[in-house]
Amino acid sequence: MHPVKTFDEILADVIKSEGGIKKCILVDRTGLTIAHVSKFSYYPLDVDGIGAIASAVFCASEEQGKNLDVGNLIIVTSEFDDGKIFAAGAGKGVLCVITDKEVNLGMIRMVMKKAATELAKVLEEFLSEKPSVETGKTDSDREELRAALGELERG
Amino acid sequence: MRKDTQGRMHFKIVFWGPSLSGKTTALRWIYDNVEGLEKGSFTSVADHTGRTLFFDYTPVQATEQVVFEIYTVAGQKRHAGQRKVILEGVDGVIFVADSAPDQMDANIESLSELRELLGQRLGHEIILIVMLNKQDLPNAMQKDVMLAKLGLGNVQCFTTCAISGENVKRSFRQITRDILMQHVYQAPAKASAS
Amino acid sequence: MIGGKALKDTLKRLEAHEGVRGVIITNMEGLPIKSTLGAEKTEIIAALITSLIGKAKRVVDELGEELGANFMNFLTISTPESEILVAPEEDYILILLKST
Repeated sequence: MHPVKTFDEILADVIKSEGGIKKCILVDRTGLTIAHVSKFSYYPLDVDGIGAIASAVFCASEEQGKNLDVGNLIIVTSEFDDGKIFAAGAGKGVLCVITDKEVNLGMIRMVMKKAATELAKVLEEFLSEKPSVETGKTDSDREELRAALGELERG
Repeated sequence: MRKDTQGRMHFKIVFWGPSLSGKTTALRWIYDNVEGLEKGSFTSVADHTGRTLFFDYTPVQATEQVVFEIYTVAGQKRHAGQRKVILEGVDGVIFVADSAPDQMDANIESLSELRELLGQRLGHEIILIVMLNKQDLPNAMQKDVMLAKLGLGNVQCFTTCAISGENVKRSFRQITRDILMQHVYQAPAKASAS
Repeated sequence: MIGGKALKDTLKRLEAHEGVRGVIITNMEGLPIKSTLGAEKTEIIAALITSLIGKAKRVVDELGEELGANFMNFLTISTPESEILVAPEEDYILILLKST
């Protein structure tokens, strides 16, 4: 079996590929942050909130594209005074890259497209590993869910 | 339910309802007042008057391994596209109805949009809880009348006031409990299903 | 700034030279402006060359004293089969692919 790159490894490759990339986040289409890496770990950010917006913005654009019949959405670019945010579709996920103002747009686009293809594959596997509604859950999951129930009763 | 790379289980709850029915207020109240549970920060995509343009979001952690991702949607009619996006992967919906009589049509319209998007799954795999909000209004409609007009028979329903927080916590507890129960007691494979 | 027509003519003229396989003009952000090649190939070449030019410029800048000047005129990448000629200007980069 081929050694499969992990989400973190793919995201780390993206961040190293070009100067000016500050942060990479992988979210799914429901807004859940699956993985993220930053160039500066001290750079404080609410990753979950950013991931939720990134996913929603991408999916909203996608919806817009469907309404206008312009095909699949590949990448969303947001340019700000002091930085840029990119979001690219990666199968069941969305790859979000946050950069400085001055970056090589061409490189970012290229690197993101390549990583998105890789991520789409890994995500497909990752998501299919989950026990589905039909197959039920593992015992440890059940234990966790019971603990959560107890926690809610106390609150 | 989805799992992240650390094996944490995430459940998505969405506050749904017509414009200005109190969805954001209810989520805010939970964020500010529910104690004992770890909460992330409150993310809001709103206009300058505080009206939700897209959604509000906050994660609430029950245990290390169980997290509820709570969203509200933008209630105004023109935001239908955004609402659809937020509904992706939802585990439970809290429908926030406005108890003012002149808002009944808006309630009905909002619920029918939800039914259209979720179909048969609503009330089955996807838990539905109803909040009849603004029950403190002097002319607030009665619970039975509202449910009848909404075509909701057997549904878990709470009369609430999102501003004071009346029954908001109970609604939240109920939906989180129902979601967890559903997952705990799910038949392990089809064999044990009768 | 040269106009669209002049630009097109220049590209045509360059392309007519012997062995020339393609000409690309890209901006400093790595986004192609004009090209005689297909869209996907153009994007990749523009991105990679712009990235390289950024690094080469830093080299020239650092070694200015050694090189007697601190700006770059031209960059050539050559393989046994072909050459890539790169002329960086103020706001854009001219890239020429050529068989040898």
